[in-house]
Amino acid sequence: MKRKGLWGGLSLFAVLWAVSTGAATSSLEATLIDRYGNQHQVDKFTFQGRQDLEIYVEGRRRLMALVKVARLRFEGERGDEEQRVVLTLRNGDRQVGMMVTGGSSSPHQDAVGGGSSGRRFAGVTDLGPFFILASDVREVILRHPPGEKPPVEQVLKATVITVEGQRFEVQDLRFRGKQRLDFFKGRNKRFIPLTKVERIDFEDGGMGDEFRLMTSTYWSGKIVMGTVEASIVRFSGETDRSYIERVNQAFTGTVGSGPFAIGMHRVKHIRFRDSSDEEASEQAIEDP
Amino acid sequence: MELQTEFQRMRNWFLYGVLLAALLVFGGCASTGSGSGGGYGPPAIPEGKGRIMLETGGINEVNFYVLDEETGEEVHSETPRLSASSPIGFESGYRSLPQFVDLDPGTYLVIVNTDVDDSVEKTVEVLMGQEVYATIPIGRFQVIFSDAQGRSQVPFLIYDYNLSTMLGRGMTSTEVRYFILPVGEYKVRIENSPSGLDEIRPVQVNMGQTQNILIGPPPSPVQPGEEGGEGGASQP
Repeated sequence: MKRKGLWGGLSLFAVLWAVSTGAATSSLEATLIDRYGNQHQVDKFTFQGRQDLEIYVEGRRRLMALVKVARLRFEGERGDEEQRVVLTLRNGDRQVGMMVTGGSSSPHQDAVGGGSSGRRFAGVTDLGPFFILASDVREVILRHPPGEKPPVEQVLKATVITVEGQRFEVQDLRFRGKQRLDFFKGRNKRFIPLTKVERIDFEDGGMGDEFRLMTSTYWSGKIVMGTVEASIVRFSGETDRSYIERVNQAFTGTVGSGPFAIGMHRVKHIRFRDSSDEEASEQAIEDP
Repeated sequence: MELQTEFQRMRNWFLYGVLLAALLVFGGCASTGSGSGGGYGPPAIPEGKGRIMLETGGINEVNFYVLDEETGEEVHSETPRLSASSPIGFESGYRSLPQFVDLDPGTYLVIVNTDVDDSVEKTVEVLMGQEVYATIPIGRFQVIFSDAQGRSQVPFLIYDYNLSTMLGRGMTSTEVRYFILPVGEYKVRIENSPSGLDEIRPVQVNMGQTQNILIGPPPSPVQPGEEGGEGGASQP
């Protein structure tokens, strides 16, 4: 009887300990296959300590969150500084891009923190801490909790009205590749999730203004005000490409005739369309 | 038989003792142990709250804010650092404790703003009476620009490693001033038209490491009898 009580106490302690240590952030698990075909079961999986990947899709830089990825495969050689990478997303989509993996290139003599490539996958295995250079990896299969739904990315439809009065019906509207608008509240940098916003109005400003006032109205009725960067001044050291991207491609998307891009200094209003309303109206048309 | 029973009793008492000691040790960890207000360590966690501590690899201060995952509302914000492109920004102060925030139990999104467009985000679950360490994968570097007059203020740009996207701007300083970035590899470009200088330097940002990048003519050697000035900044 006493022994049962003792074991009960020990198990209670174990449960308490597990709860107290399990309060940290959720971690990713992955099966990693290296270029020799060895498999490694890795917990707390990260890329350079981060839970996102920096990839270039059609030449544009994108940060891809690992929670969205089901598997990724490197299709280059070990010594390549850049490798073609194929990502299979959890929602079934497939994306092909380039990723800088470091290869066998030695760091620049001035890269003080260098000495070796910092591009590595890291985590923990049963044997202890684990890391492997990205150039040594062939494939990564991420293991997400069973039953957990993949994060859904809504396709945003919006009407963009310019300061000249032009009107564009845009699909998949993004701000610098993301579905969130970065702005400043005083000197505090914040963001607005575009999926939760009904409209954004930009105050009139001179062409040379570095910042523009902005008022966004959420679907819930909440109103957020702040300023957005709208500078068209070219910075010293800025390349043609980055200047054009920064000034003329703040908002991107697609219109009926093809790709769409507009600079922050040219936008006057953005009206988002509620996707649930549209689905309902489409349903009503189909089933009168 | 009696001896065996006595032995078993003693063993049970010993195991109970070990269990009690372990519980006390873990309980002590959770309550931070500064209830007496002695001045060392962070203050005790207020009743009914939990604590998020930012583990930033030795960086004194970061600009961060916390959103409630359920409501999306901002529940806490700290902005001790100035913008990277501000000419008056410099690294000041000493902080013996990591930044922390006490919050009601729940799930929160901690967002740390860096000196480039990319911020670092962590979802953290706060439990009552517990400390949770949120490891923020960021590092820092310093750009020292010197000309004939010594160190000076010059704007520079921070690019991704491919030089395809400009991620942020900065301003060098005559003081000690660091720029905080998510861990990774970047390039820094300084173009100074008057002097005809155009330098692109790779930067590898690692957590817990600090880098100094010296741009400009090397400091002139100190002559015997002269006092060492700012030109004595060393660079490996």
